[in-house]
Amino acid sequence: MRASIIEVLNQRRHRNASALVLLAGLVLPALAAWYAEWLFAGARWVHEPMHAVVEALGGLIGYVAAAILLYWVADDEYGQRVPTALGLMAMGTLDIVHAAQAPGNLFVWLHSWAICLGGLGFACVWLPARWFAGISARLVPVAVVAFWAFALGSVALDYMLPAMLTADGMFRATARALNVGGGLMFYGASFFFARRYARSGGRHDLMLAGFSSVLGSAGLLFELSSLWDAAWWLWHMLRLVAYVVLVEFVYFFGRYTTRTSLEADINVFDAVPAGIMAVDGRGRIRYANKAAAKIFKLELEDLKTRVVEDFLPHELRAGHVGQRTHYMQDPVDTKMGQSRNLFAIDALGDKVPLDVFLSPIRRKQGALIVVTLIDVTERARHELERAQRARELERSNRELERSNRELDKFAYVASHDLRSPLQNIRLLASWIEEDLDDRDEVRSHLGLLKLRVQRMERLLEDLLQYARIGRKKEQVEEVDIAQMVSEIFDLLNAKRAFELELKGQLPRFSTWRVPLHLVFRNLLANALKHHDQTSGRVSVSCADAGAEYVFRVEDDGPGIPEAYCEKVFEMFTTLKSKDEVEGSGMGLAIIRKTTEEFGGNILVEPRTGRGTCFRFTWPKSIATA
Amino acid sequence: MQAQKQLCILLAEDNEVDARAVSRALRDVRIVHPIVRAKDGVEALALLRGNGAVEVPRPYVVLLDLSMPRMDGLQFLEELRADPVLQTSVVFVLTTSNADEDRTRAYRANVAGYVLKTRLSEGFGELRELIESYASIVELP
Repeated sequence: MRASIIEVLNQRRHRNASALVLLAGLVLPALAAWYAEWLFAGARWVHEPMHAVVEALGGLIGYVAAAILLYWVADDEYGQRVPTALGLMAMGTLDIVHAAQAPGNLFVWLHSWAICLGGLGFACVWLPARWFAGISARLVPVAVVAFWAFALGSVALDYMLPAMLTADGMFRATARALNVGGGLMFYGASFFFARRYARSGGRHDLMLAGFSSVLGSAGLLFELSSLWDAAWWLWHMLRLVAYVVLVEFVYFFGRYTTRTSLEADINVFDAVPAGIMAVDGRGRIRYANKAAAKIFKLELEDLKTRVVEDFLPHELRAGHVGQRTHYMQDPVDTKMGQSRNLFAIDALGDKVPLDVFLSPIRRKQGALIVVTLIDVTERARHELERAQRARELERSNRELERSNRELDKFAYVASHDLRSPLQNIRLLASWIEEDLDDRDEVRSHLGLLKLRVQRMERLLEDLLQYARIGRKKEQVEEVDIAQMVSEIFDLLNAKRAFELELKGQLPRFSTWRVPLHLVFRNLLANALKHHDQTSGRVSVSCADAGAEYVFRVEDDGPGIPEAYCEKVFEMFTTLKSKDEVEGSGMGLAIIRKTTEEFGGNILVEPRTGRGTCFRFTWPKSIATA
Repeated sequence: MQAQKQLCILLAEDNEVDARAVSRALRDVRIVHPIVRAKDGVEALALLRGNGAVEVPRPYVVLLDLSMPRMDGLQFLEELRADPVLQTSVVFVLTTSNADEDRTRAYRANVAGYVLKTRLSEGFGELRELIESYASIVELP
């Protein structure tokens, strides 16, 4: 992962701080010691009770710090807490016993071992944490007993201890080795903590680095000091101060510091699949989790520099400032978006449909609003699909209703129109039987009979054609309307009694040829068939209406009264008796169903007086139909 | 035996064969009833209102087919009952439609009877009997 500038700067700061602590822990006490020696050269302040108090206090504080480490700090926070605590307790035990001694060999022996064991305990931080996992419970009491046994044993077997002092009261090499070794081990631990602080910036590391470096210096200063002199008192005080600060610190380490550092390392909200932001009274985004950054398609750091208005649709931004100010006066839990279409604009300018929850957190510095964002893109898409399916269902329902109505109408009319010719045929046959002698009557009856049979055939044929209208099977071809209309007209107008006029430009386009041919043929045939004169004129024109053509077929025949303009399109409807003008009453029903099936419509333009004008539309392109 | 009265029959029927059937049925009776033929509701109304080619003398009965072009039987009945002069006319429906709806609507328009063509025997003998007894015993408006 690429480190941000802030992280780099922080690391540099941590490194500087840790170097400073290491240096200060070593140099400052040394300088102070020299200064004290120079100031109080040769001075000796012999005060055994004071020394006893300082040492015993230091020992007790070491125990307190160890207890805090053992009970309040967890392994995953500080893996080497057990050896550190044992070091503190060993040092504490020996210091307490040391406090009760008069200066002499035992006095130096106990103190030197205190420094050495303490340094050993702290130096264990260099060892892998897993070595110490799970040993605390049993080892700690045993170790404490061992420390006390060692200290009290030393007191009891005082005469057997190796000499720590020379005859003239100077420290021997053994004492020096224990003190300097312990001091160096403290230094080693200090270096470890400082290094870890430089990397991670954990404050407890900085503190432990300081503490161990002060104790390290105390061990080394032992070299420079002699009993009761100024430097000797100085490093005793230094140790006491270090202890007190340590306890204070370890206490907070257990209570707070580790917890905040955990939050800095692991952000629980980044694992939440909903966007979470904290917004202040001025609309600034003070906190955001990863999901929120993902919703707005921004880097997390970038998101934290924005205001909420940046993500509103442009036209709502100005108004929102007022609404937000008003809301902040008395913020309450609010749900937005569930019922209405709420959406944000992300960094790329796209709409993101959202459900939004507002929950205020009241603080002294002014309320913070926790904004929870739930991306409902998926849900919105599902709803859209559902609505589309519902529309399709509705359309097919309407289609079904229409076809049911048609079927009802068909059943009703068919019962008459299909039965009537049969009934007639039966009657005519019986009359022929009765009137056998009257040749003229018989001939007339037979003529009618043949007509009824034809009517029946025609009716069945038209019904079949009507039922078959459908676009699926139809071929698409280039059609020249002028040519098609002329051909149809010539075929129908065998006697050349009628005239065809093609008005204006007629189009040439690719479409379903057969159904369009059927529409023109039926319309032209109607114009000629229902004409009440022996001659007449039919005109065909076309207008461009964008996606479709509007065709007009006009005649100068008797016309259709306005009241029948719609009725003529119903099945089996004729305006004249079928005996006057033979017809099934299906022609216009077939035309209407055909035009509608192919994306157009047809109507009779209402007019008074003579002449009929059928106007129908036909899609220009098969794709838009 | 009562004296036979002449009764004019207005036959509203678009089908030539059915019209002929009625004519044949009423041909062989003692008193010949004049038959006036209309081919649809519009023509029948025109005839009754005296705007037609011939006059329809009272008393008359109307034999009405339901399925006709332009104005069908039921529309004709509506117009008839709405006309203050013609509303008392006696009408028999003579049809092939056996639909309940048609029958109900016809009787709502106060028809004197609803006769199914398919129920009549060949030659419409029953129709002749109906008209004859009607002509002899019923007092018409």
